[in-house]
Amino acid sequence: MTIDENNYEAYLLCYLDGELEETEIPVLLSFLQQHPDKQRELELLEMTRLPQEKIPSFPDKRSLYRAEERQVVKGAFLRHYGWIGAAAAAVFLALFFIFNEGHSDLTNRIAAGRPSTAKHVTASEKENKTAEEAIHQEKPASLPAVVKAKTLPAPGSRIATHKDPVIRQSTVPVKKSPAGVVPAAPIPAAVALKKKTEQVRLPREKADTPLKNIPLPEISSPREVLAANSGASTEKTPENRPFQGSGLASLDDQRPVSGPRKRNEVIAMNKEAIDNAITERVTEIQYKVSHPFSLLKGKEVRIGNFSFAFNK
Amino acid sequence: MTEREYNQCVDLFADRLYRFIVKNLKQAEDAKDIVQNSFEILWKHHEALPQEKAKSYLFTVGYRNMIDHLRKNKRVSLVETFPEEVPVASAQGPDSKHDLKSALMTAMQRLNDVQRSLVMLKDYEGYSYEEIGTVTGLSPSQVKVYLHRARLKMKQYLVKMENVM
Repeated sequence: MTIDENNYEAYLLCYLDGELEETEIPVLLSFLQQHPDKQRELELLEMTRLPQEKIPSFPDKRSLYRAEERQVVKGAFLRHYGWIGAAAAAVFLALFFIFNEGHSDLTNRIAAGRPSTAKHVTASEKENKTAEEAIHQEKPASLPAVVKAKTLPAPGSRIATHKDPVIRQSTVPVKKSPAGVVPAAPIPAAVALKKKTEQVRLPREKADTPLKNIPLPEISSPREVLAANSGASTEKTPENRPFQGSGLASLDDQRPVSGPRKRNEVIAMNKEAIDNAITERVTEIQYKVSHPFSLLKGKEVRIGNFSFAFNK
Repeated sequence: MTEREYNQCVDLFADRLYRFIVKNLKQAEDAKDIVQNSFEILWKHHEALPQEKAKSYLFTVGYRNMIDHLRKNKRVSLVETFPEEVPVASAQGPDSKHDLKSALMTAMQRLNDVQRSLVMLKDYEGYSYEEIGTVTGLSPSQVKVYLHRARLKMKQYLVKMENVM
């Protein structure tokens, strides 16, 4: 290998790039010693080498990591969708409780009646039985006997009594009918009217009671009804005195109001009331389902640090 | 190459590849996209690729992506001569306040893309002619010739600037 004036530049560049072979390096260095002007040229070529500087960092290196990228994506998923899931769960729970409250109320009403109503009816039935037993134990000769029950006459009982002495005095003893059926005992007009009013109005709470527990109205004579409507007192007038064989009383006996007819009327009225209540409730539930946000009216939902108030 | 070795490659070569690309393109966002694309491709072939060749593979993919990007933007110039019509004084060359480094950077910008890439691969990454040829798709002889021409051009510029100063 020979280095001369014609090829020294290539050797200098190879020397600068570190591509010169080890055997050629001493030859080049001796040539430079022999030619000092070429030394200056080597210094200029060395100036063209890029200086080692601080390497700029890649701005988004984490996106290049494979394992970490999956963790980041998973964390981002939980971070973003966790709150959405929590909000959806909160809304679902709120709707569930609101809807379930109304639904359970309706179900209880429709099914077997509320426990309090059933309990009341049961107690009433017991009283009826007691009164009937007392009547059957009485001899027919002892009639008309006044059964001194402390409670109001139960539905279905043939004898009406009252603890009020005035009213009790106005009761009319009833003769046993030839057919063996005790005719309906006339009761005071005020009590009869009161009972009738209660049964006709049919409060909403009692509207859904089973039909077998519905109390039947007492049978009263037209005279009593007339007296009650005219505001007559229960004093011992000739009209409302106890039955003493007058023609008016016999007229009452001749055309009594039939019990089954009134019973059917009341049953029909109760059925209508029950139907109305069910229809009303179903309509209300349908409205809640079709307008879910109406259930949240006036309520406040808190999700994390955020609270949502539903005013409209 | 395992996943762990791949992540080590990210630690070792991401910054270097980014420097190589961004100094050629002068556009950080484009350089970022090219680096990400290069590592995507590396990850696709990481099982068949040994870790020792990962750096060369990364720079090869990055260089080719960069050239494609430049060609798409019609910024590739294979002219290996200085644009002599541009006067040295009017260019953004160094004045008395600038040091040698800024003059060198200016000289680098006067090179074409291939020459600039060769100089950076040689000086920054320390690749041999053969390795540079692998990255750029040139033969070692071509790399040697192109690189020597680039150095001489840079020296010529620096000499001119030294005379001006």
